[in-house]
Amino acid sequence: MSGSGKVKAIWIKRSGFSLKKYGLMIGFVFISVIISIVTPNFLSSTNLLNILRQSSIVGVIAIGTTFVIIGGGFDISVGSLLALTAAMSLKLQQILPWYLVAALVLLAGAFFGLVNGLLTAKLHIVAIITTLGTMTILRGLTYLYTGGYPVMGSSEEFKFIGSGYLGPIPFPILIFLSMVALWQFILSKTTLGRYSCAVGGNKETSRLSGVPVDFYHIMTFVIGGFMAAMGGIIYAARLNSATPLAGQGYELDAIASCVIGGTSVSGGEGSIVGTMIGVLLLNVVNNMFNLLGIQVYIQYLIKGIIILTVVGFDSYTRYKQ
Amino acid sequence: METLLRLQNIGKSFPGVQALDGIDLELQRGEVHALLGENGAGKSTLVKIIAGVYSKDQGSVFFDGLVRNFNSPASALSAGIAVIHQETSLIPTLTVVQNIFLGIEYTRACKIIDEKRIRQEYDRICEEFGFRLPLAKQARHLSIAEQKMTEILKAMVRKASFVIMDEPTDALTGPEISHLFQIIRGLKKSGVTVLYITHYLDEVSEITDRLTVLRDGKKVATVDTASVGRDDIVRMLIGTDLAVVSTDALDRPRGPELFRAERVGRKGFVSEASFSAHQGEILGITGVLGSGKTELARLLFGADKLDSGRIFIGGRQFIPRSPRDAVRHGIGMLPEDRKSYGLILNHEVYKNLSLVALKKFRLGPLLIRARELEAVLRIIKQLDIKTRGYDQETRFLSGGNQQKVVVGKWLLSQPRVLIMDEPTRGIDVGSKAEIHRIMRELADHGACILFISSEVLEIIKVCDRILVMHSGKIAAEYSRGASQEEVLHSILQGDAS
Repeated sequence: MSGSGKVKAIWIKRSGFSLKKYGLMIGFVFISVIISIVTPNFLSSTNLLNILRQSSIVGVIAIGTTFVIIGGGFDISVGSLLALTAAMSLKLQQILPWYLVAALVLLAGAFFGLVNGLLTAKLHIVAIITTLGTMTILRGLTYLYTGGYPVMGSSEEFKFIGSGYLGPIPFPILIFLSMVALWQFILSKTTLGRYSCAVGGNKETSRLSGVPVDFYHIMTFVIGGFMAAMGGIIYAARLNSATPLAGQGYELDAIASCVIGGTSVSGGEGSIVGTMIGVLLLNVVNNMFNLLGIQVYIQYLIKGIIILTVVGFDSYTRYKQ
Repeated sequence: METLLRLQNIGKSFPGVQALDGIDLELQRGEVHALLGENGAGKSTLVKIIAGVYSKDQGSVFFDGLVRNFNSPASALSAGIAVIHQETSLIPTLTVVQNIFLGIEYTRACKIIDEKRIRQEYDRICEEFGFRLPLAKQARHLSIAEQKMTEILKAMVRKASFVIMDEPTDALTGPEISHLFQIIRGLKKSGVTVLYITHYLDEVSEITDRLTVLRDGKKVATVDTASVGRDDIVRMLIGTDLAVVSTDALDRPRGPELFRAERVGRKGFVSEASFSAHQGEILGITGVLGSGKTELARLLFGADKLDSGRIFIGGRQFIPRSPRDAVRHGIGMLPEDRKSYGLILNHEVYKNLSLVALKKFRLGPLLIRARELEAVLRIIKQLDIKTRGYDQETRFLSGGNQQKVVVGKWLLSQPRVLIMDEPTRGIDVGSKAEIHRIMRELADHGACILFISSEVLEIIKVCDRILVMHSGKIAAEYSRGASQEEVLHSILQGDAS
């Protein structure tokens, strides 16, 4: 037996990045290069920072959504949750200091995520229907809470979260990028991340391996709610105003970013970095149309086509295997 | 009599196994023919070739006088070959009539379904075979017997001349079985040929005209049922030269008792199972499908809720409420269906291997990758798992290597009691021997193995002691050196011989 030799061989044959990840990266770079040729302004630092800033709110939400989908769930309530938490962020500041408000809002987000998780895991409601219900409820709560009018006004410190700069870089971008780093780390380097993947990959196998599946399934929803609330805070701080209609359709952008970024809709696999690229891809294309002065409505068509192309390609190759 | 189906020199091999070897068989029009054989003898492979699920490697199939090569179950069905599987293939939300006519509905203009004509045809067919079903009931509300009858009617409206029934009486009650036999006799009268697969020898003598026995992928004989006794059949099943099986289990001193189950039960599946197992022992549990052996395993592991009973492990009482509980108490289980319940197929080999014991590789909430990989690579080496790398997706591994991954993930958690449910099913001979070796090694290191298998030969070869289950009860116990004949007798008859 050439024991050590075999082990070494296994080490060497480690395949590293999957082709899928590469494909997405290459596609992203390719599109960016084309855009930078077509639209000269694209590569200016102002424009690039602009794209990043525009990506940051949906980006932060999409990080949470990635966890939910990896865990085998689905969450379409995050757009409504953003509206409620944004309104809370501003209105609560009338009675509490901003940092307490921020902490409370994050907790509230986690709480609503917990509700989604409990309904899905314990009552066995299909996740998309659970969150369809809570989406409607949360939107209703937002209307009740705001009386239907926009909420305005916040402290200077709070505004900094949304519109401040650290050196040349807008603060929301820093939040977004540091969250990407943090959650990618959690996903790939902690038991929380590993178990979430396992539960989404095969719930029964995980259960029969002694994993507390309900706990981790619920945790992914808690993360989803928490990150949606963070998105709400950035939104409120950036606009210094929150309408009851805020965040409509954000949940769909978040889901689109996840699947473009390689997260499997059937659960079990995905990456936060991939989701980040997905968000950026959508925004880069939007940005191109803005720079070229093409009608806004076309952007919807393009966004849809991108989703179908990327996911279609992936699904079809999987089917072929 | 006229020949309906003729098989000539049928052969089929899978990687590492010759599943079928030179099978010749002729079935007459209007006969009921039993197909017998132990697990792994090749029955289901043969049926799948006839029904167009598998393609054969060699030989010819003649059906209704023509050479046929069915390449899908649909093409076999349109030629008149219907299979009634053990598991229902009805669509649960459709009614009996909708299921029966699914895909062949009579229509009027514009594809509007002609309910009246369907109803007439249904009445006609019921009349012909002499039984009726609650036609508007949804399939999910039918009893298993009613489901079987629905499937028979479904085959009949498609004008099937040949029906294959795979263990049709499984989970049926006595009166339901008699009713089914009546229906089979009706089919026979209408000139339909039935290939009847079963484990129950008394059914064979009651309903079949002739029988064919397969063993190790070869045909042993085809005989008139009336001309042979039950003992003759058993002898053909196991082969006369194999009456005494040499066991791998040497005479070992028994360790102290490590595991004891007391009156463990779950309504309708397992009743009051009590037994104990010792350190260093491989305890075999066998029985036919539906005898309760898998259900017992799941109860002991906390995978299903038990209605009664308790277990002791190392003298400590413990009622398994969840697999997590069981794992904490040092029990592990390899489930019967490794692809659905044992592995996360899309995940890498190392993630599957470390899943159970993941907590060993962490520091606070962090996973220490180096420690995880070290353990994983050690197991890959120890079990000689053939993989392109530790991060290859598990679905690309062969069946035997996949099973080794499932074994490996439990080895990493070092269970005191390991339940293995059909760990060698569907894997090649080499891997099978290796799994046996690993089991023995584990036992020698002080674990206790509960080895569940429906393959009698394997059980006798590997185990220190054997429990036989029948209809949810532990029906007999054998110590080392039991003959295959006695064990098989208990499996089929449910008593000690």
